[in-house]
Amino acid sequence: MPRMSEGVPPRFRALAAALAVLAAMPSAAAEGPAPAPKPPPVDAGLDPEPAIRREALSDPRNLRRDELPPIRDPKYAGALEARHMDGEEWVLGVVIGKTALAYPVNILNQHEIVVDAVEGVPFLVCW
Amino acid sequence: MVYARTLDGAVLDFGHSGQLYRSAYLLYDTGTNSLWHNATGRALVGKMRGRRLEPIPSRFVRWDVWKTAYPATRVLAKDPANPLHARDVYRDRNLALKLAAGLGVRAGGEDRLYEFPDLDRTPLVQERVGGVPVAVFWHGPTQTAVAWERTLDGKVLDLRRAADGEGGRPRLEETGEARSVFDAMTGEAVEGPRAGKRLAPVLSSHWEVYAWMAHHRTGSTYRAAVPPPEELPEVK
Repeated sequence: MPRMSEGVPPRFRALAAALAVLAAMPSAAAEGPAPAPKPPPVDAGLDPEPAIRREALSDPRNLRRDELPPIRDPKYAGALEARHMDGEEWVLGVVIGKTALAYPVNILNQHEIVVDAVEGVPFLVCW
Repeated sequence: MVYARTLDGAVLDFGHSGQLYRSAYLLYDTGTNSLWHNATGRALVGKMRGRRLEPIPSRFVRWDVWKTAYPATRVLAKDPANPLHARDVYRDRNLALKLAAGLGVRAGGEDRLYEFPDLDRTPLVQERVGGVPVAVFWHGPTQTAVAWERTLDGKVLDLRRAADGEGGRPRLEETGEARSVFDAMTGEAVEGPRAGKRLAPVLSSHWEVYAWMAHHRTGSTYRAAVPPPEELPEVK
């Protein structure tokens, strides 16, 4: 008799074996209490990520850690005094409480991260 | 993307890990050195794995559109001492729009992508995402996409495009008798019985289509029912 896991990719063999064991077990569902409904996953809608090993992410082509420095003490200008801005320039805009803030892509591209807080809300801008 | 960086009452601080995952860079938090995905706000590696930062609605928009909508806005200034700020790297300002891009919307635990060519054909889309009634509006002249919740005062609004306001500011109006007019860019009711009230923004972000697909495999994509002009059948 062929083994169950033949033809199954190696990464799924453990799963296939577990399913085979489950299939062979007598069903308890008929007598036992109905299982409680599962709560919806916190990340419903987001692609479940596989377990990732830190080492698997390393690549010599990657930037070094902290090579791109986040902006931690951002300085802002009002709309009228912002002479560095062109009307057609793209910004990431956000409203936090009553504060509207704009982050020019030209600057974000050089840092990718801004760490700040307004109106008591600590926040993070990623680009 | 913008995120609140408070988790379980503690404020986290972040740096750039330099690592990539499916072309997206990862941040690290200085407390646990866990690695966080910049586009989804989730920790993928380390003690914080599985945790998620709360996103704050943000918008990718032209500066002239943003400062017209929010005249009191402040804008990140260049640091004269930083050589990185000496030149504008984003020379082609329309680069983002030349790419296949769209507005990724997240509501009620569901993700949906509205690609810009589809929005160009149907500039006001009203539907539900994750059960939440949303209005996705595309303003062609400034190539701006915004998403609003269209529930106000406990009522689901039916909206349509209205005549532009001052300075060409696009407006939406409620259909029916209680006709209120909204500024499409701020969500604020500017005329009618709901004047002064605001539509709540829906979490949305600009994405290149391939990147959105890579990170939202369970999401759906909006398709305009109206065919593009070149696909219209010839009338004989």
